Amino acid sequence: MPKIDSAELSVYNAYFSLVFENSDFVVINKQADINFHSEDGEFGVVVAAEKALACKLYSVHRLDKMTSGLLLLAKSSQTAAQLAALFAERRIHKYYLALSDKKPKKKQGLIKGGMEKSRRSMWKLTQKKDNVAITQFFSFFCSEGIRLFIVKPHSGKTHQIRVALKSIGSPVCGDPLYAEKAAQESLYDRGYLHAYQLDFSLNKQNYSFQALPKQGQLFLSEAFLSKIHSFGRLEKLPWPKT
Amino acid sequence: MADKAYQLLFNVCEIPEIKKNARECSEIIGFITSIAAAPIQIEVEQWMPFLWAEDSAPSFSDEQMAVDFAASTLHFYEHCLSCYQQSLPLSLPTDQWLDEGLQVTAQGRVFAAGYLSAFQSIEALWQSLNLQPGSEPEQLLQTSLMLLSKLASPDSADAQIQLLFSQLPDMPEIVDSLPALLGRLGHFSTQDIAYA
Repeated sequence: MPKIDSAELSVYNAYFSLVFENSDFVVINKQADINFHSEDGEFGVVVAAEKALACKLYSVHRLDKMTSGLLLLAKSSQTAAQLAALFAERRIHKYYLALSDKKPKKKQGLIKGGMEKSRRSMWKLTQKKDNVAITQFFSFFCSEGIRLFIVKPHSGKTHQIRVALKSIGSPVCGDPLYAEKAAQESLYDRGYLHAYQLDFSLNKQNYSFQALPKQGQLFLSEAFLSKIHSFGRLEKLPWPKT
Repeated sequence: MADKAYQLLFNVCEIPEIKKNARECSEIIGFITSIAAAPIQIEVEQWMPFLWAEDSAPSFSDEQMAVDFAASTLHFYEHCLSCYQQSLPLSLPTDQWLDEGLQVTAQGRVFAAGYLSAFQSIEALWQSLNLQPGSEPEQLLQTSLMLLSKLASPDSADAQIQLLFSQLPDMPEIVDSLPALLGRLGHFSTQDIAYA
């Protein structure tokens, strides 16, 4: 059984909250609308974490600017290599939560397809065999007009989840790239995508982390929170076979 | 430092299991050289799986082998970044890229193909820089891509491409110039500078 450690520690700032720290790595809960790397004179979340924790950190995966949630950062190049190997072999399991105001073409299943670049830096799902991205998902009623998606991507391709949900007719609420912009800007206070659970094994120790989103009216609503709590560990859901 | 980074990666790529399943070492070097020059840092999770042969996810029979592979590729990546930050020529195994007849070898072609393959996957990031036509970074980029294209497929059957290639430097000059050219290009792309 994986070790469960969802209690968040008390280091908070505008960029992230600390979820877990040991001698090898840290896990943080990134805020939405924070750049990953420093950009335009503003700190990215990695630099902010380095400053707050007073140590050099090595990133091996990333979250888009609009996406909040769990981020794993190594404390040494050796651990970075270990985590990189785990990511390369897809032995780090990530689960995301997303909200959409559009009904999906199917309620659960696999989204399979390649991704290729498109206009405005968007990436779109294609039927090409190369660069194939696989995304498993479930969708549930959340509140009036809002569906909750629990998503498990199988690779770390840019914008994979946002593209995948768009491809089944359910773009993420508030997504500045993939949702209908004019309608989204007035309706939503953030992009509703959050990296919620992260499971992996390192040095023969199993780790499993969960962190709830801290921003967004819909994410903070009673309807959303009660739904999430009813699921418990997301790896126990009957995920469709890839 | 440079030779060490390359040698470390080469040694890991020579492990039979990795040699069988991963891309060729020269292609891996080209791929990482290009990814490290991306205008925005690409995370390991996003690029490392592409070092494996097509249509297969990376897998290793031994955990330490996986870590050694990841460590050697990360070490080479860091070496590239270091060269880019200081605008130094990359230390690449160019002595393997020409045969006795001064024609490009398989290693040279595969390196160029690896660089171009990675470039295509991150081309949108380059486009987002909006390089001004005629500016130094834009000229560096165009020149690098043309030289790498000639290195990757010197025998292209396309008449227009052959005509273009004939106007480019010959192979020894290309091989000689690429480490500095790519180092300079990486310097531009990884610096916070105005591209006016």
